[in-house]
Amino acid sequence: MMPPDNDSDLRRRLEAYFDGRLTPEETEELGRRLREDPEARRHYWDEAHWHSALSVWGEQALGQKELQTEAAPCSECSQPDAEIRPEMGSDPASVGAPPEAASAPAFEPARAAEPGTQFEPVSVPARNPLRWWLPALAFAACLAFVFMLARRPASRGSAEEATFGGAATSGSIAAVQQPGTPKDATLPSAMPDSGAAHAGATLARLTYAADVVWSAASPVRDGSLDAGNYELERGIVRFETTAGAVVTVAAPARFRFVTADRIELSQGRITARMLREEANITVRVADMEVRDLGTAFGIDANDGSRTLVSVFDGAVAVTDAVHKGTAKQVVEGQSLIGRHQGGTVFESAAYSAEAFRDLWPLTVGINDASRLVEFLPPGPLLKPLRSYRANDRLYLFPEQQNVSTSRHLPIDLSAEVRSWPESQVSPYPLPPGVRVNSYLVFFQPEPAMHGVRRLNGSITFQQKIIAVMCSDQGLTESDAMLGDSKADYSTRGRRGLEELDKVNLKSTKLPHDSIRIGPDGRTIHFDFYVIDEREQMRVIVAAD
Amino acid sequence: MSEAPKQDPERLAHVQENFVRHMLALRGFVLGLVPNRNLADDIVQETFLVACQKAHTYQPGSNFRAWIFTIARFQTMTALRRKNGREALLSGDVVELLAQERPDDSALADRVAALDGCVGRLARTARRAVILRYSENLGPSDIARELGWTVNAINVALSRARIFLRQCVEHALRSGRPTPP
Repeated sequence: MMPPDNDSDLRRRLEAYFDGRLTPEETEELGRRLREDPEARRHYWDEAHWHSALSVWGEQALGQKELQTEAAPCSECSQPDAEIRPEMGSDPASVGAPPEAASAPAFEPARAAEPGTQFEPVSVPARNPLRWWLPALAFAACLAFVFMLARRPASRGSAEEATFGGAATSGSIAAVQQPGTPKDATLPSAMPDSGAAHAGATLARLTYAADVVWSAASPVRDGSLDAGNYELERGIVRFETTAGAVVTVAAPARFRFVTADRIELSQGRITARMLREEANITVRVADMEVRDLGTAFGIDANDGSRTLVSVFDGAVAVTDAVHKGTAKQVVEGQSLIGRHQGGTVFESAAYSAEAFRDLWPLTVGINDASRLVEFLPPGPLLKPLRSYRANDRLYLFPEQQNVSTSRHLPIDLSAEVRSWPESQVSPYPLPPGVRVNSYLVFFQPEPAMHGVRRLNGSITFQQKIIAVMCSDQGLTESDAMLGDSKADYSTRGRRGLEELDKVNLKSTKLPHDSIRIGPDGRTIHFDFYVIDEREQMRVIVAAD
Repeated sequence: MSEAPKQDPERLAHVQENFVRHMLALRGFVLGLVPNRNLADDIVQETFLVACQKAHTYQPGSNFRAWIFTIARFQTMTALRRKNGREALLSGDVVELLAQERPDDSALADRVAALDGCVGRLARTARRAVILRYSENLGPSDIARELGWTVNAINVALSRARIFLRQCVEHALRSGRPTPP
């Protein structure tokens, strides 16, 4: 029996009626209510109008899909005027119309439909022979509306200011973090070009500092670094020079900031990455000068007698500044050792990036990550992605940085749609012309993984997250544009996240994966239940 | 069997032309009266045939929409009488009452246009359910089978999706902007 309804109950009944879910008894009850209650009839038409609109939309969508897929004309449907006249004219008695009516101009709109178009979907129950022209007419009549749909470009996540002092989660970076260290420091929206290093000139702005202790004499003020001598006694800092370089320094370190594009390093470890083509920096250690050639590189000067230079990307030129010998060029995936013996003697060395592992995430724009996130070693991909396997962690691989999207890309999460897969809406595609940094986060089990693991944590980026791709389609379609050109992304089977509960999979019942962008817009929280299948997501953040 | 009245070709063409012009609204009207899309299609088709038969009774210049909707209303009643009761549909008298009180749905075309963008904004899973329901014309139990969900989950998903779509479409119509997919 239908209870004395309130509006929502009536609406539920009406919804069920239009979905064909009511039993005859319930339908009869609904009829009684409609017969007696004018307000219920008003609700009925409100619901009916939406049902009608959705049904018409559904047929149009189907018609469009078939227009797109019906590339090859078939022998039956390619007959001229086969759309209407054969039916109308074939049995004029039944319609009471004279044969000439079949050629009436009234049907021109329908005849204008594409020859070869079929409107009968395979999966729809068979219809009687005459009904096929109805969708055709509806489609022709409504096509104009479809073309009227303008596409609004997707909104961009703005490259807002970086913060230092990331979220207080633990991890490879978090080990040097301390809650309550410097509050948010902001980068100016446009930094001035490199200038002369007169006293008091601001050469860089801090973008990250955690658990940091500077010597009292270090000229750090209000998140700015001026020309002068610095001594970092504890912690790791990252700053962006006005010459366009991101520099990360780990304590203990002593250096002199000479100009915006020149640092003299006496001790410590440092990594640098150029943000744009015209950016540059030269780092001098004793007599040795390392000049970037559009690169990312690291220098370890903790041993007074030798300095290690490793190039992660691009190339650097290394010279002996005193003896002015021939510059040596070191390219990505190579290391060089300079021995300081009254001049510098250069030695080639096996590529070594281990000394920079803790600096690398900060250098590529990641402020914080849970312990279970392991960064691929800095530098070029030295072994295939599929070789990175572990059952208890995720890998993070920085892909293309500061790249501009060249076409619309399907995405699954954005600054506006922040949870997946629970959200009822899909975000707008990522439009062309957006400069982004791309990161691949992936789980890849060892060959014989048994059981179930829950991987739950977060990653905080320096810049705002503007999109996440976690479906097979989104990942595959963005590989070429955002992925590393040297990486092989080809996989067998699924690679995206699992949006449905994993039921009866190896007798294991698992919840689905979920990801969420945090309120700061820079942190992605993930909760994966992993078994023996790979899972990937591509996180896109605003370029620096 | 009575002989079909001789048709004026111009009058017939006029009726057919107007039928095409009003067909979207007519389909909306019939779909509002009978939720079964196949049955609604049958009714619209029968309406067209009867309108052609009775074209000579239509007076050019009079309200074509009222004329064709009246035919459709009778065809709906006829179709409901023919139904064998296997499907739970409202009885003829209720449908007749509803048809008489039908409010104008002049926004149907706009709603359909806006839906195209709004459906594109649904989450993937909800979008799949909506497409199967309205594009493939499957019922909730068939959709549940197709997606491997429970029927109840499908009902909930469809209901939520419709709420979102309604809000999205109303927003699009209010703002006067089509919603991008």
